[in-house]
Amino acid sequence: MPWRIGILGAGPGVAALHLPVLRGLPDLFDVVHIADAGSGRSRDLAEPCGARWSSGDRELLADPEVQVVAVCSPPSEHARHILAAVAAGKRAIFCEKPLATTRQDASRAIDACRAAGAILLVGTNHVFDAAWGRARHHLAALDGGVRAVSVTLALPPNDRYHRLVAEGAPFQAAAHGRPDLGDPAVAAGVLRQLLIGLAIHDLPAVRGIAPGIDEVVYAQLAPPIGYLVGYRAGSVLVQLALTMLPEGPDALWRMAIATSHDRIEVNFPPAFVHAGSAVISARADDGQRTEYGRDPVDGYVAEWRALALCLETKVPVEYDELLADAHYAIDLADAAAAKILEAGRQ
Amino acid sequence: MTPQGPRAGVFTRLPAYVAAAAGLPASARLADDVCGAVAVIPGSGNWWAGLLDARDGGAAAVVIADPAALPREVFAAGAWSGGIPVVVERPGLRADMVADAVRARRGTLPRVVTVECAASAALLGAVIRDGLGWARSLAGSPLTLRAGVAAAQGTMALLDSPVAGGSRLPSTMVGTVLEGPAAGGVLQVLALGEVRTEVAIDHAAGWAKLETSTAEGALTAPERYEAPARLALRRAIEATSSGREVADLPELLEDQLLAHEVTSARATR
Repeated sequence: MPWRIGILGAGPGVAALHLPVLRGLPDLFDVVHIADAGSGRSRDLAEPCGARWSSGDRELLADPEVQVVAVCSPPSEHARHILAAVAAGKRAIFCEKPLATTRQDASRAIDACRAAGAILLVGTNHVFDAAWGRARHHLAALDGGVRAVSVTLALPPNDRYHRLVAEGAPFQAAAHGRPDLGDPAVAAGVLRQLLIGLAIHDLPAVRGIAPGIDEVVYAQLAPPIGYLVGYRAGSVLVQLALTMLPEGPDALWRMAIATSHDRIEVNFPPAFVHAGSAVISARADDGQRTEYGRDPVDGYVAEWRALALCLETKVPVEYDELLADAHYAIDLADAAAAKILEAGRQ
Repeated sequence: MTPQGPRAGVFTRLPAYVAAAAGLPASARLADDVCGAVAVIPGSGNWWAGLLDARDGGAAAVVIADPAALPREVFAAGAWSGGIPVVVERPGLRADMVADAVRARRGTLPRVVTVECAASAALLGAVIRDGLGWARSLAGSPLTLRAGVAAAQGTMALLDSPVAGGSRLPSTMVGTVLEGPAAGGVLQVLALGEVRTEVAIDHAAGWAKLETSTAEGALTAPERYEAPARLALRRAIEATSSGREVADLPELLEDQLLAHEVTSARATR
């Protein structure tokens, strides 16, 4: 019997991503309820699945059919929805990244799941990408240590990829006017949001090879919307770059890891599309290059399969790791935002 | 230089340049005297002193072959008054490859430039210098260091350069020490924006890639098969006959000074 899912949230991520993925895994999951936050979009998404729909979270959480809650609400609501799902006695929770936007919320969410024995999976799809697993094995097999990590993102509008996996455009969020980025407080807030919302795709992976944040060397917003953040994690230098473009070439989403002897490059496919795993190339210390082929399963499918595995085999949830991942991202976002405020004061 | 015109004298003992002169039979001949010739200065050791000697000896032009990173005080103490063309052979920053990269962008400035460098400790300074040269070329204006940190096995920096309208174009650089038998230098440059340029150079592997991408697709530049020495010599001979100014030396010095700043950085932002 497939696990019965209730989805909190009816935005583009659900329409273009989670719903098609879940419907492609009918042996594992059955979507039985979708709730929006008052937009009315849940009905359009639920009806074709034969699922119920509602507004707000109460009806869905009270629905006895719902065994697993997918938290796909705005990031600031994630922790509250996890707590509510645990309080409603739900067995498992899939939380779209990030887990939470503050340290306290992250800790509360993890504590609640741990106390209730609830399964929790955070949908950091890059971490579930088979290619990342291969890169980790490659790193583990090396003699030398990691010296630098660069995560570089150049992203055209998401709409380009939404259109390849769903209908009913436009999927772009409505523009709310351009924030005054000349105001350091506003700029710091935008940077924090970008790090917690976008850099979070890769920060758990980065934490695995560059744990700790000893010093933020620079942090600034990049044009037209994006960031440049450099920090030191022990002896490892980490560089994060994002630019979100109004037009341009296909998405570049790359993590490059420089070790004492090798260079490993992980090129992830654009968000939303199902183009298989990332592609890895490795340059060895003799100059030889190896390119690993794509795995047909992408990180989005892999993360849901991982949740099914947890449900079926009672694989222990690594609550401490999930919390450490969340705290790492939040600490980095806070330190980077503080750097911008400090520059503004000077 | 036409096949009928006088052939430029080339004063060198470097095998690569002797071969390059042989590959330019219509425009070059080997010379016994530096005076009036294109003098080729080996880039190893104190090439700055060699450059000054060649100028004082009456060279018509100078080629600096694959210059090593010099300590700041070496060339800061001297002065280059110009007067003769100086062409610099920079394997990490080939003039023809840079021209290909800039031309393919069709005037579109990047939004952000990122540079990653890795090389043996002895070569890292030169590779960082060339990486910064790529950032300068793609940004189209000089870079200023804004923040950086130098660690034991690497260095990281944020830089920017002016663009029209008073805004600044940011660049980042990270350089790490590479060990092993093929630590000759790896350079990876990304100019991100509506037009994306990707440069990848691996000296030890003898590999270079230049790709320009837009919404329409990607254009891979053809491999440049001309030997770096022949390219440098040809440019020097062309500069002496045309009288056209060559910016190689001031650009090299600018990149070198910035590389010094970056590798000793402690500024933060």
